[in-house]
Amino acid sequence: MTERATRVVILGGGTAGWMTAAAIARLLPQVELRLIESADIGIVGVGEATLPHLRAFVETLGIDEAEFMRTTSATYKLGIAFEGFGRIGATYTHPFGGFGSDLAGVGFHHYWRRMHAAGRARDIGAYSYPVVLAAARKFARPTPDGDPITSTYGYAYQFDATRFAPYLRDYAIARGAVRTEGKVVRVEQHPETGDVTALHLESGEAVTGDLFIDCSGFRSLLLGDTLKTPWEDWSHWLPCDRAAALPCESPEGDIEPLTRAIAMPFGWRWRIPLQHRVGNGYVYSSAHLSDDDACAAIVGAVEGKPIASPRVLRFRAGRRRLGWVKNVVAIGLSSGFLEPLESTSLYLAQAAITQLIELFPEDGRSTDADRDEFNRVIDLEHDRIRDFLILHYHATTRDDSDFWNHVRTMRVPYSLHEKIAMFRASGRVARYTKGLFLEPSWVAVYLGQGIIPERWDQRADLADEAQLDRALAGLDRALGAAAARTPGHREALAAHHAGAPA
Amino acid sequence: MSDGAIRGIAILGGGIVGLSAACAFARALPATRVTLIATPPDPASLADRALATWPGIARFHEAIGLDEPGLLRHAGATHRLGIAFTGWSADGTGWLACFGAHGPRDQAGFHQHWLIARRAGDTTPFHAYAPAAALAAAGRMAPPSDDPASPLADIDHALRFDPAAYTAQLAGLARHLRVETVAGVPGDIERRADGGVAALVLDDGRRIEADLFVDAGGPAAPLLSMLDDAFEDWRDTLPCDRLLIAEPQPPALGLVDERHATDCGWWWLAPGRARTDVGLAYCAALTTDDAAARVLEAEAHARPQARLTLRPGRRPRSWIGNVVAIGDAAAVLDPLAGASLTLAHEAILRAIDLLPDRSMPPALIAEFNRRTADHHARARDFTAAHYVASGRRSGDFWRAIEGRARPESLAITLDQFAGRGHLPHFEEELATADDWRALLLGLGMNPAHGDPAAQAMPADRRTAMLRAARDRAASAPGLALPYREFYARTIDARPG
Repeated sequence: MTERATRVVILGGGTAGWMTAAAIARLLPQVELRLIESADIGIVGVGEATLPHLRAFVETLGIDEAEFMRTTSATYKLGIAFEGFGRIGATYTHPFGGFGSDLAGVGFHHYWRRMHAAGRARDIGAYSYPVVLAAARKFARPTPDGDPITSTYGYAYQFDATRFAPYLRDYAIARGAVRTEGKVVRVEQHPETGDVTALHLESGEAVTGDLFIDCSGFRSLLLGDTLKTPWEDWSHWLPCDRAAALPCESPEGDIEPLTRAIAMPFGWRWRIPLQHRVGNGYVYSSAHLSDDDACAAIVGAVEGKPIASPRVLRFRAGRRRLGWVKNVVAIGLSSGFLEPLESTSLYLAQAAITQLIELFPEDGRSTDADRDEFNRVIDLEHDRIRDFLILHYHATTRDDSDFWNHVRTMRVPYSLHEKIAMFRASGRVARYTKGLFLEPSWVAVYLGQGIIPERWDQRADLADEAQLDRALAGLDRALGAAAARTPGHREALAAHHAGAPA
Repeated sequence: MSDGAIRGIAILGGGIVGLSAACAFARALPATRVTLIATPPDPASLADRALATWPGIARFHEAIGLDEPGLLRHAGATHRLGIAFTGWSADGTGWLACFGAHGPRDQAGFHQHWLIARRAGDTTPFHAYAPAAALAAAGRMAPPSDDPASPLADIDHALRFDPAAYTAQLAGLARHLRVETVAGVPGDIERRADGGVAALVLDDGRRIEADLFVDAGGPAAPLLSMLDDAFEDWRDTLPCDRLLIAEPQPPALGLVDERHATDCGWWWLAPGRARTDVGLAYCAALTTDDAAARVLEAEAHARPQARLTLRPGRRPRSWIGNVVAIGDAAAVLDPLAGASLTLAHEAILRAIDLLPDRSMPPALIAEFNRRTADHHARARDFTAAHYVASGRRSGDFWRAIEGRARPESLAITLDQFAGRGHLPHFEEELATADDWRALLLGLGMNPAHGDPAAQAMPADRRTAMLRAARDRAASAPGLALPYREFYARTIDARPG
């Protein structure tokens, strides 16, 4: 223990800033924590769709899930439906769960591939319980009993990000975080080490600290502007650099427990149903489409009544070469950006927070080893997600615009090229056990995007075809029956809210 | 699959590795012809000597259809809970490195709390929090429990074998699985137009054709080396290149192996059903064979019987074209961590899991090679950590290690642990996080900084948590039987 508390200063009060503040306040209560934010600077806050990992974050904070969901108007999410990505008119779902179950140590999708070749299997989504549930607009939490159907999936939230940050702000402040309203006018650095020593505010106050966390969003005030950390540009692979966001009223009927990603001529649009509205946005490439045309396209595409005018957001795919430099750690958009196609933005912030807490320097003074390890882990996460996103664009037959012609024919990163070649030749997925998007996710997207393996595991040929036929039909029936017993999404939300302590 | 399926597999090497591969392929692919060319194993092939195994061996045995009571009855198997180390740390303190959990599984960073307590003067060793170590110290054993409330849920164990009996059992299983065994020595290989191997020609003129060839021929890698003789030398990191095997000692039933550091290297003792193995590992450039023999007699009270020369290192690509090398043909590690047979078994299972079609898609072979190379590298790192992170400075052998370059992945692990007790994640590990921590803390590594997340726990809660974990571990022997009795009961158990 040090004599005085370690002083951490977070710059920026968006979602990433308050997520970081909440986690530090909870897990490192001995730290003296300040967050500087300015009401003049808006937050991006379009990240309304999340991944199941966020549940662990909420749980770590000890937050009551029902209260959290009520506050943020959250709905349940079982996956993402992709429309028109692999080819126009084709839809598939990337579920938070696998397909079927393994047999004799061989993955289900090998048996599926064999039966599909014989014309005796439905789309692979028919054998995934979260896909079946979502299509029926039903929801139940996974059971903890190891049941082969009802325990084998995960869920995430679709929520109002503009309410998430304030919720975490109250949480962090209640646990000792100090919020300072103000704009940074000057960053003071140590003359020799270059470490950031203080942030000078418009008010004249100088906020000193041991460790500075840059959550300033795209401006990347500390990591980018001050420390001049180079930017690694990925926009040649992920050319979408704008979004036209347009919230709408909720339609009649039950809420889909799904985020939709619908391919458009120059990008794609999201559809994220919350309790009180539906979030929409056209993510497009400004090299191929003007802002005005994008706004007109999103207004024309949404099915509900708009409750605002379209708002254009700008971004660029890529990352800062290093996320932790000297005594500055960047979390959120200040460290990099990957478009929201797979709802990864809060996940990346969460991964950086987890890693920071694990490597948090005892006296606030980090070493090269701490920084290298942080950067090693975060780089790996970024690289894998980047490859996974590029796959959605590249594996397509679409040729209806310059945009799709570009992404279809571009040279992809070698790491992705190898992964695709392996799956195409053998149905095998490059293995890793820690990080985002494990085997079932890759299988869902490969198959959904039309990359059908030329061969399957030869052990899948050992099973009797009539038996496999019965097994597939039986699974199909069992999933349908289980879904039929499950309440609708709205009903599940109401029950959860009612059962929770007020 | 339909077209392109592997129809025939030929395995070169009649030792434990070749037989393991034959059984595993024949079990997984009953429609595929499996031929074993049973050349006698190279005495220096450590995987074939089955000096030790890791807990993962249960997964391999399950895959080929062998159970523990059967292995105890037929293969002379005994249980191994861990290793007792002496002489490795700077202050000479020994420790017990046992498999399984140390501290509560739901307490992330348990060792950080142990470190905080140690800094405050608590002298309880880390292994006092491992139920398996409590069993080992008491000489008692119990089957692992499925009930998370029981301390026996936290134990894990490996097996040791009587190599001759284990070989015989695997050979019997191979016959049962209709593996065709051919005696003979390959004289030549016939190549295909694409560079792959078409057939092995034995010295009596017989041709063995196959779609896939497995090189289980020991460190010389007789098959793979004909396609590519590249070799990555690891002697800088793994300095033992000579083993002096002692005359067998009388059999003993024991749960713990021993590793004793000595000025010229280290010596081992492994009790077993047929005999107790003793041997010395040293570096030929620093110690003459005669001097090594004197050390073995003086310290281990054993007479030398055989000398083996090792060349630690690996073949960077263990799968080339339609030839895959397994065991010492792919990587050679000294026997300190007992990893060799486990690496071979894991590679066999990986080859089956990724089994390509006859076209051998390069991306798939690259994935096999990536994972295998990573696994070998982490086994090397774990073995090398015993030397590099040891505080011992007595003896030329140990002084020579100082200042050697460390492979990058090992440097990351050691620097992270030395900094603040953090253990970075690597895919394809041999050892669990518990194994790594037990080793590094046992060697006397003392992280320079504390872990703020662990420091946030109030002191009285930490004291209570540590006490509960110690009591839990200490209660394990009460639920177990003296090993002799446990062994007798298990060997009589009939599989369900």
